[in-house]
Amino acid sequence: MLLKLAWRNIRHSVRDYTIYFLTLLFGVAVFYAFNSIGGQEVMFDLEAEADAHQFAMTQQFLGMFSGLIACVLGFLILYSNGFLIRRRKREFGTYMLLGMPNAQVSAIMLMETVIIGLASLALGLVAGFLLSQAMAFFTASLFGTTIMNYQFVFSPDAFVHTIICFAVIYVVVALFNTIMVNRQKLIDLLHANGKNQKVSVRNPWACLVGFIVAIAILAYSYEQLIESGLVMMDDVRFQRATIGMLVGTFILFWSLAGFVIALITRTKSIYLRGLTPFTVRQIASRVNTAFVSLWAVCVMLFFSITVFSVGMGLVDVFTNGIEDANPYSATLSAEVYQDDALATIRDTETDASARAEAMKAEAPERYENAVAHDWSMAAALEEADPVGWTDTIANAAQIDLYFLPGTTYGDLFQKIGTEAAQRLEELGDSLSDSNVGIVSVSDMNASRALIGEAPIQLVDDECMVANNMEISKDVAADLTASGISFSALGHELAVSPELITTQLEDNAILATALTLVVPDGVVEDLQGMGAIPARSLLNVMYADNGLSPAQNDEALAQIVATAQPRSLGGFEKGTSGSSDTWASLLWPVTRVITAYGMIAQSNGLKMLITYLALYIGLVLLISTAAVLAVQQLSNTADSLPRYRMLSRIGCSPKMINRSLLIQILVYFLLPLAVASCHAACAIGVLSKELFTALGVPVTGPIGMAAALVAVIYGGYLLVTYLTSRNAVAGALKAR
Amino acid sequence: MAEAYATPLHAAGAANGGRPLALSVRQAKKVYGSRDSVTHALDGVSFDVAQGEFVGVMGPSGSGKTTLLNCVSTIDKVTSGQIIVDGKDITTLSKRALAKFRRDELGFIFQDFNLLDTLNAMENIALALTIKHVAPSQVTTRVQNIAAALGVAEVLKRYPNQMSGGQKQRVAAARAIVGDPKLILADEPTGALDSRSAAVLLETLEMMNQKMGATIMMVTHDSYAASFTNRVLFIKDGRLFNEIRRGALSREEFFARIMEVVAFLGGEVSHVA
Repeated sequence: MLLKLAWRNIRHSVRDYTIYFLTLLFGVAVFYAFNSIGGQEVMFDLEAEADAHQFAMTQQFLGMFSGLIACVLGFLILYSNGFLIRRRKREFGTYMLLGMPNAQVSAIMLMETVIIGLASLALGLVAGFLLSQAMAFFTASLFGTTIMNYQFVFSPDAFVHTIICFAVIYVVVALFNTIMVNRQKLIDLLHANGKNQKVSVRNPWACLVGFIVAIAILAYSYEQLIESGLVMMDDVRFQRATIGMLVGTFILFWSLAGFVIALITRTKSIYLRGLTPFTVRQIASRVNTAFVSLWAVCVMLFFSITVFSVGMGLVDVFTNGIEDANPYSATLSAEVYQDDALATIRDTETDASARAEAMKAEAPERYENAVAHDWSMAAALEEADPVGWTDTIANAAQIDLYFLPGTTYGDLFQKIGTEAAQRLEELGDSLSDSNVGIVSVSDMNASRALIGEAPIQLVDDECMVANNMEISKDVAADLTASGISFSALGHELAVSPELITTQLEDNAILATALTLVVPDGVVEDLQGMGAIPARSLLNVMYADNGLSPAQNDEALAQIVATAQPRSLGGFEKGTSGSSDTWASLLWPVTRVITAYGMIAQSNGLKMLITYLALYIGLVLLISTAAVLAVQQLSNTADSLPRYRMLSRIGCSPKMINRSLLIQILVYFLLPLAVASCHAACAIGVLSKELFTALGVPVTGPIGMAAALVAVIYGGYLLVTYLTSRNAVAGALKAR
Repeated sequence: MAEAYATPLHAAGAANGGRPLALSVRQAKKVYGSRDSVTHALDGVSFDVAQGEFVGVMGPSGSGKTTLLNCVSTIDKVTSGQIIVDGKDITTLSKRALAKFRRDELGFIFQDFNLLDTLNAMENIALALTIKHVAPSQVTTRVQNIAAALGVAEVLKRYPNQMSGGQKQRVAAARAIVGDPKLILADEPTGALDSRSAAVLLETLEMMNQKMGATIMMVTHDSYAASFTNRVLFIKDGRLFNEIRRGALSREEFFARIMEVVAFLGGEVSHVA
């Protein structure tokens, strides 16, 4: 009997429940789909550990955030449930008046919750299952591959996770409902509908002051944020900006209603037109009480937009031109330089032989080994494993990077002018104080030959600038355009206007930064003075041996392991991973970067960040839109008598619908506008500090965020309006 | 035999001294229900209201008086018959035209005031003008004039929940008349008021009728309220049962006549103020 009643109730109030139900369904589906990403692994032909690892890592991160997401969804469900309950107080009152004990009323509620919960869970899981199948194709496009063995993948882990998570949420909801029903007094329940909202009118002057204060606080926060550059999260300016934005937004919403309404109502020529007085009061009566939720909605929207667009931008940062950055099959490097405390490799030594002396003292074995092989890494490796070397490596070319003792970048740029020197200074990392990095033209040409680039022709008294790094692009242009010349170890070198953009090594990004290509004579003279290379880069191309890149990567690691097994000891640079089979030494090999590994890693990062951004952005967006929708629908339901009255005194349905639309638009667009302003500021700062520096356009991610907001938020807006309109039309007809 | 009770059609114009008609109801029928159980809420009602008349409609509960009012106010539709307001047959109007008609030609006063709780008195009254697209510059003056005439000028800034029932109903009356409607329809306007406020309101309505020339049709089951009108129509079982005119009678005498008919009708005897 109670079950029948519960079922009837649901069917009866299906209109109230539509948005609630859809949101639950969305929540379950998204939750399942994102938690099941790990299961997609089987669809791809993953040959290397690296790729499988990417799936595991993505899964792990998404799992971590799922806790947070579950909290957001839980809050959302409780909130909308609360609204539905409030709308039905009178119904409960009637049950109690008829003599139904509290326990039974609670039981009806519980059954309704269970029915809705089970239905949404079941349908949501089905939808999530379908969504995850579709997402597999998306994953494939992220990896730039096609799906090899398509199959329906069901993830039991995600399934169980979703069920447990939502079961907990529903239990909390059921508890909440029971408490809510039990605490009510019959008289309050019965008169719930009759109670008028008290119209609180704020002092417009207080609101004006509040409004100005809010704008001032927000302006200050923006300024702090722009100053902080959003680089360091523990920057005190960043914290100030965060608190300022939260407080400023709060005061803004608090004061906005009173202030704008005072303004509009005083402007009679605008105010006294059509349904404007009604519409304005209708909005005002809620803003006065709803500013807290508007604030929360605005903050969540801000996070949603920012997380999504920054996330999508980061994807580009990490993956843009990853293939261009890895032109060689692999790069093995010997990081001989000393001063590596800073991110940029620099050198301030004035004595050419200083590094050689230091290396002799700290790693004599390595030094002797290097001298014995005449500093040729390839020779050392081939000697250790000649068969492996010839089987795996088709071509190799070594680039030795030196620093010109006593000639700093600052010296060069001072010659160009103070403006150029200033730009160099702004580049940071005290590059001005560092000696100029040089490579010999034959080293450069050898590596260029590996990747099919034409050799550089350099006359004796000339040098060229090599740079392809985005951040130092302008400074490099200053140098090539300068036409200056300088003296290097007795050679008078003129800077050529031609810019070399060759990538010197495999790297995560285009990483050739302000390196001068000099005649071989300069380097020979330097060697004569006892200098050793600061870095040696051995670029290799794999032989066409029928093996896959992953297998060749393993073969290369094997060669390195033969030359320098982990048991060897000696001076460890310590940059290799613990799972590597070889020891990281100062010479010959400190580090190995392979193109295949880099690309796999970047795809993994792409997947991780894309999915995280989508997941968080999507859930926050759905949540905020749903909160607004539930609020507005309940608002409309409460206002039905008012619309009925308007219709009686002769308002056409068209006028009423317009008023309705304006109300809903204001409620949806106001927090969106404020959130967009905040997001624009944050993204603007990030784009200046990060994206532009790395040469990644920020318009794409912003466009995607806008599209996401338009579809989801706009969709909810539309559904809310149509549902409200139907409710009003129904109420007008009923009479 | 509806005609036996109703006012003969041809006599209506003459009886009102040749004044043009504000409202003319012809053979209005309203049938509820399906084939099995048919209820004739209105069973062929015909009457006229001349411009500037204050007409009361009385009858026991379920007699059809509220249905009649709803049909005249175009909230409900008659099954057959005609309702002519200012020469226009409103039963043939489209839905959109009906809204326009209510807006331009009718004023309403309801038992439960039906003021918008989110608007103050000033805005409630102004709404009747703004939805007619009256120029904003005129709205304020017109509202203030009406409010002064109806004695609610000092509560214009207040919201409905800050006013007494009598004040609310007078604000509602102001809203009804501010747009210069052809016909004001009042549905038990004193129903929710105490006797003191009811008397003030009825005097206000009387004043609106006499000084401002408003045509008012008031549905009530209160004989005291009805005694303020010029003419009272009695409805029973969906038909026009009787009609009495005040003529030269004083209000007290008219009240006594109404009580006689009510007693004769055997309907409930309403409270006497």
